[in-house]
Amino acid sequence: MRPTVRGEVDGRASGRTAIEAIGLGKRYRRRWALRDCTFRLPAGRICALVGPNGAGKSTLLSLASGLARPSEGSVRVCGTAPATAAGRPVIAHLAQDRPLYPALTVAETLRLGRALNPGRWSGRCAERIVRDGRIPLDARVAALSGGQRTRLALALAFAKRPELLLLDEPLADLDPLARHRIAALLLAEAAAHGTTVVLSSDLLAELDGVCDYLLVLGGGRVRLAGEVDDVIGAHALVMGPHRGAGLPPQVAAHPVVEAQLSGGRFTAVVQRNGTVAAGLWETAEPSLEELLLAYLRAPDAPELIAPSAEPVSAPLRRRPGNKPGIPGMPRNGPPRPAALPGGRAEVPRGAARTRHDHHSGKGAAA
Amino acid sequence: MTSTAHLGASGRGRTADAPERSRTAGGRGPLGGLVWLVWRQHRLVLGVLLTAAVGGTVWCAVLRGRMAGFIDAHHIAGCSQISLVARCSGTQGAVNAFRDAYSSSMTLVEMGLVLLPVLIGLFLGAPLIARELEAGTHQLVLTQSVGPVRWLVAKVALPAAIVFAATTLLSAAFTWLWQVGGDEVSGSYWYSTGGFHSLGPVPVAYSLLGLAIGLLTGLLLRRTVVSMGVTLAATALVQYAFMQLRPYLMPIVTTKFGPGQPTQLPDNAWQVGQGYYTSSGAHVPDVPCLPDQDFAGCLRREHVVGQYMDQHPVTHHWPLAWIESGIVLALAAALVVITFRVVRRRYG
Repeated sequence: MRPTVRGEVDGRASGRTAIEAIGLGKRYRRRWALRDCTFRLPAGRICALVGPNGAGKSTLLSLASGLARPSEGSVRVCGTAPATAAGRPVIAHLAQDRPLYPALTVAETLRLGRALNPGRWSGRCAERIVRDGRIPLDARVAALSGGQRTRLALALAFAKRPELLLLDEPLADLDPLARHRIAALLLAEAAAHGTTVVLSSDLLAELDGVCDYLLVLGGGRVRLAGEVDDVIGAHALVMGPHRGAGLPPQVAAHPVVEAQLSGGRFTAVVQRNGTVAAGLWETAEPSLEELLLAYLRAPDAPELIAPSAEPVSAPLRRRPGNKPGIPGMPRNGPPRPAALPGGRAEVPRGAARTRHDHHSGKGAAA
Repeated sequence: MTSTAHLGASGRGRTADAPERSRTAGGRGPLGGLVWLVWRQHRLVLGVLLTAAVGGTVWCAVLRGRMAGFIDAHHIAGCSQISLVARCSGTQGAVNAFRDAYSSSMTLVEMGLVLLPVLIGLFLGAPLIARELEAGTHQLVLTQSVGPVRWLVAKVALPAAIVFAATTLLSAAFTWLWQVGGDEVSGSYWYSTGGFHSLGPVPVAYSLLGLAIGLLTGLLLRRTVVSMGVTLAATALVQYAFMQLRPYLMPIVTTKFGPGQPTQLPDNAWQVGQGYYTSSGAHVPDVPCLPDQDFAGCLRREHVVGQYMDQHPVTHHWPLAWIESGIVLALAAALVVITFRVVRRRYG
């Protein structure tokens, strides 16, 4: 599904930034929900925000939508601060608990959305989403099921015609059919309007084919960020028989994200440092789900931030020539204009990617 | 509601997905939508308030007519139960009958007007923001194009306008009633707690203060029930504090009574203190003399020349009422300003 979405709108190919967080942190009383979070999300992407419970996903979305104020650092959205007159109209936020007025009817809720978004509201879009879910317009919100509430909240978010759509667990309480319809709608809307979408989800299998960008949080920090294809390409899934105490030295030479040893066999996800040397093992490209599971299982794995996810205006930016990046990682994202400040010349070092069936290692990893 | 019609109108004749550009963009549009939302959320309480105001006004008008008829029929205008006014001699029975018939009704309206600020703070002010924060629905509004300040403007403006209108109507009706049946004839004087708090600008000012207290406590405490309790306590505390402070809002008039003069103020004067004054002019609130042990000789030994009474004459009523209302309104305005500052700091 991904190739049909990409490159249709100029927002997709441009170097614009949807979210840029620098040293972002949020503290609730004594506990840090998010700490030292630095990343950039290019505009036009559909970004999956993944992390274990309590990793700071909802906090990050609230900071980006301006509902919460950062305790430290800063976040800029579409070139402005989120909680400003310029920022509010271009951001839509579907909060985790689907805040809606229970006493209002569905029609009144949509009327509210129209009244509170003068000049932006698309009543046609809102009605389509509500009708698609067969939600009666005269029903009170209090009487709706969880899935219907989610759909109504999504209608409010979509019909605002935002440039950045922040969705907190948008698919969580939908049935499988509705999940597919909403995912398809998401892709269609994003493609038609060049909307940047950030969606947090625990449904890892659902993300594959929907998202083209990835942001993994863990322990309040960014663990993994970049184009899905880049990130997957930068990793290798290695499986084989194992002897001795640990992984074969040729495999362990690459930064190991996670390794499982059982029944005389090992399964390891490594950050590929060039090509994994051939041996008695089989090397494959991990699926998105396998990769995410590996990072979720191994909270101490080394972090990996792709160049496209490095902040452009970061004061912490490293010197040119000493470019950060993923060794051996090809960039398959859209080419960046050379005139961009700090223009990152691509170094397609790992062009010789291991060609394997995308899902060959699925059974072995489970 | 006409919401279905509105929804239908929203998609009328427009090309698919074209945003409606009928109003100014960027959250600078009219407040209409927000005002509608606030009305929709609180229409029960606001409706009850308006109904009570209209009902109370009608009740006051009916009562005034009946009282005026009674007073005219018995010629007891300006007569109290024990009156020194000559034309009131022999009216004691009629005044008693008047009080039996009407004082409970008047007290009822007075109590209503005294309690109104607290009730408004409890059931309108406190839930106004606290309920949103409790249910998380503020997230819905604050992520739309309109900003938090405009949201708060609507939250303050509509309830304040309705409270102002309702209490002004009620207060005006009661003041109109009181001109006939107040003071001497009913024994409900302007300086009594019930009287002062229900006349003229005073109930309006306290109602707006109750609303402001509820608004701010709701914003700070984020829990509806807790902020209702705090609003109740705070509003009652302010009312009590002003009861203690009230005599000193204007210079007190001291009336001196020489020896042999009857120590009697007009019935409608608010006596706030009394005592003796000596030949040197000093005021002695209390003398160590006992009435049963040569009282006159004792007073002479203490150099007492006569008695004095500290009082606010009836002419001080409206100045006192406006001064107190002004202070209360300034307090309410300060609380609203704090509310705006908190909202701006918290939500941008």
